[in-house]
Amino acid sequence: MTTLKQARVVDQKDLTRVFIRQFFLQTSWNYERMQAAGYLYIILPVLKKIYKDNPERLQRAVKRNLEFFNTQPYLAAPIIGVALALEEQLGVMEDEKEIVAQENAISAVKVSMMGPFAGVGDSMFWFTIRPIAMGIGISLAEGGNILGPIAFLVIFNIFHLGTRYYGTTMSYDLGTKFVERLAKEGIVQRVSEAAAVLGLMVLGVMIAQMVKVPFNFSIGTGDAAKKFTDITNSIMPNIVPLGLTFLLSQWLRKGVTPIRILLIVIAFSLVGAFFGFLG
Amino acid sequence: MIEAIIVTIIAIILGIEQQPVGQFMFAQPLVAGTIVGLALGDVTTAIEVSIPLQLIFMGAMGIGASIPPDATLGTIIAVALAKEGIPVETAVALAVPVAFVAVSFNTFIRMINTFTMHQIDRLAEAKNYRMIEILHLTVFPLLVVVRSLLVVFPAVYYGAEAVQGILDVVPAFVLKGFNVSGQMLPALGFAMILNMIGIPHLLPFLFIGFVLASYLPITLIGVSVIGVCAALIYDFFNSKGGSGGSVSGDLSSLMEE
Repeated sequence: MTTLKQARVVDQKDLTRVFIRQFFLQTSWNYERMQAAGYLYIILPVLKKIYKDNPERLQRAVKRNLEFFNTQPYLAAPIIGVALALEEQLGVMEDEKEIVAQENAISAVKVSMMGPFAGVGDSMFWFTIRPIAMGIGISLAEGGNILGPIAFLVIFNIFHLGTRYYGTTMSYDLGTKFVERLAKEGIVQRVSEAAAVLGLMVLGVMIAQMVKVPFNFSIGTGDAAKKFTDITNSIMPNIVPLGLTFLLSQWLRKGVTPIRILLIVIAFSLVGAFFGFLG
Repeated sequence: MIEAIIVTIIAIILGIEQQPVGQFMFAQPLVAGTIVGLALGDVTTAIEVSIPLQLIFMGAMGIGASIPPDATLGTIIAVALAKEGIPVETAVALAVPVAFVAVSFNTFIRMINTFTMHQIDRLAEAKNYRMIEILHLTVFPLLVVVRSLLVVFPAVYYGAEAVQGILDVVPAFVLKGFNVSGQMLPALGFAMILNMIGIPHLLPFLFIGFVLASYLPITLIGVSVIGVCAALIYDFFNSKGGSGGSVSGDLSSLMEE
């Protein structure tokens, strides 16, 4: 077997290029193979370098890298980094049997990483980092302050760009070692769960602070009349927004489409405003 | 006219940033609305419109192959209309159906891209790699341009007057109702996030966050710090109790390496 060291043709400049090209991962996203062409686009300069004297092998590599690919866009970085290390190794192989085995290994690495990484990426970025950054952004933006959106962009993109850049370079350097560790059963799930703990706590805060159900009626008559919201708040503040969120979550799980829920909420609001018990 | 052109150009750029290129989150309603506001010279109103839309669409995200409602397009049109004098609550309410209608365009674009994919296969056969790159980079963005010209320009150019005309005959309770639904709809976004996280045994953490925020004057950042601690503690005990001793240490040890 050829060692990784002998095979190295990828330099820092190539990695920077691969990093920049990752912003075009989804530029031809489609239903059939999703990010496939984007993946090829990202590593194409490296493939060209590896096979600069061998057009047939280059074509073979290009076709092979047009296979289905889809993951959380930022976490494509570590997959690409690892795959590059393997592609480079493949480039110096000459024995057909060895080549085929390595090709299969690369496909296996891509397939086995993209699923779990999509899960981790979704829980990290879409369920945790983005809601938190956005929560901070919204609270700063109240009253029309432009600092809000700016703060959101800065906070989010520190994580975004950090993941894409270091994901690429570190995983390339660590080669397959990194993959094996991360893909090892349990760790991926643990990262997802830890992110979910944080995400759920933040979600709880946002339900309390950002959902409002403005009931506007009283129960009882005369001096004994009590505002309905005062009653619910004395049980627990914001219990109505919490109940609403769980009700909608239940409906979604039963398969009611978001657009239908949306229409129901709007219809309910209109009825409430008309009869005056809401607003 | 000039405003409609400016807004259309912004819609094109942000529509491309939204999925095909970048994903720096400039297309999030709060940011997109602010950009339109900057261009049209009224940031305060723009942010006022964008915040409720951001909350409503917080849970709208493309996971795997799913295509979320197009909050960006809805926000851009809403902010443009609000600038032209439509009340904020109404602009917000109008953005919601726009966002859902736009999904069909977005689905159509990704269908067309399937043909691009097959063309790329053919080009690989012909070893024409330069052309692969060009096709990959241009088709989707061009379709976003077409979409914006078809949807955003007419909506902004004709929209304001048409909408104002309708508004003059709309009774007050309708506007109030839209306003109320805007306050309630963030619950839908949060419900979507909740279902996607989908780990029932972690639900207590949601209640911890909820109760902290309901009873104490604590900010989101404060709870986030507690949340990070909770996540690390959870993982520490979770990994000790987990099956098999092969996974050594906790997450922090993994990060240190």
